[in-house]
Amino acid sequence: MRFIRYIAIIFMITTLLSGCLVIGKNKEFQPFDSTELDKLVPGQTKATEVTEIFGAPSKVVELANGNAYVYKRTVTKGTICWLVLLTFGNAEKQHDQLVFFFDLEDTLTHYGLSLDAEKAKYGFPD
Amino acid sequence: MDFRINSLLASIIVFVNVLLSGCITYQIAKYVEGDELIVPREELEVGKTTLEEALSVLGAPDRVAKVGLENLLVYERALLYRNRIKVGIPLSELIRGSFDIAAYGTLVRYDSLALFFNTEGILSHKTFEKGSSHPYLKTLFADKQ
Repeated sequence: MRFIRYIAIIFMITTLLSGCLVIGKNKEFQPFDSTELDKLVPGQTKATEVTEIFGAPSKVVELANGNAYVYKRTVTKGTICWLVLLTFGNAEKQHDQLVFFFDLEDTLTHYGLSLDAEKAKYGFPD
Repeated sequence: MDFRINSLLASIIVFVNVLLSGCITYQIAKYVEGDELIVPREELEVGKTTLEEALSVLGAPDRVAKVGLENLLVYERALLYRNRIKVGIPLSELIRGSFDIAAYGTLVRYDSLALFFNTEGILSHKTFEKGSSHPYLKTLFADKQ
């Protein structure tokens, strides 16, 4: 009788824990190289030189005193786990972003860099 | 007494069978976009902080825009949480169709920092909202929008 109970419990646990796990990764790639930033001199570098080095921007935004060129690439990592009664889904999207600010004469005034794409991780919702 | 035990056992078997056939499912989902937003209050002083300083402290903004005669920089992190329960009784063997009932709650919260710079590149005003500090259930079911 005890043996049957053990078998029943093991069967129940294995049934409840049976499931499926899926992991996936999406990448929106933009081939800019942040080490090239050393070549830029705010107050001197022109917008055309920036596009020669970094390629076409993902987005151009008109500002009150010039323009901003935005370069962006993203990494999304997703995890889905199906159990019998429970389903867990988790996705994290992080991006690398480079924003150049130009004045009305298209001269570089400032730039900002964020490198977070590598921080995207797989996991379960907390 | 035996009849009661048998009924209980039968009920448990039916209930477990329903559960194991996937008729009841509970889903928990989370979606995060953007890195955690840490706002250094001392380093962002209105009327003093320059665009260059803000960029060196916070990095590239998630969005830039022209607002009147000023430039707006937005740093943002989005957090989505969804809980969903679904109960379904497949009746297709008996009748055409089946019975399904589901309920879900989705909440998207934003941590947002907006910085306004004048044309001289000086911070003119700022605003920060930490949406993620609001609890999931309380916020989801709150009457206030």
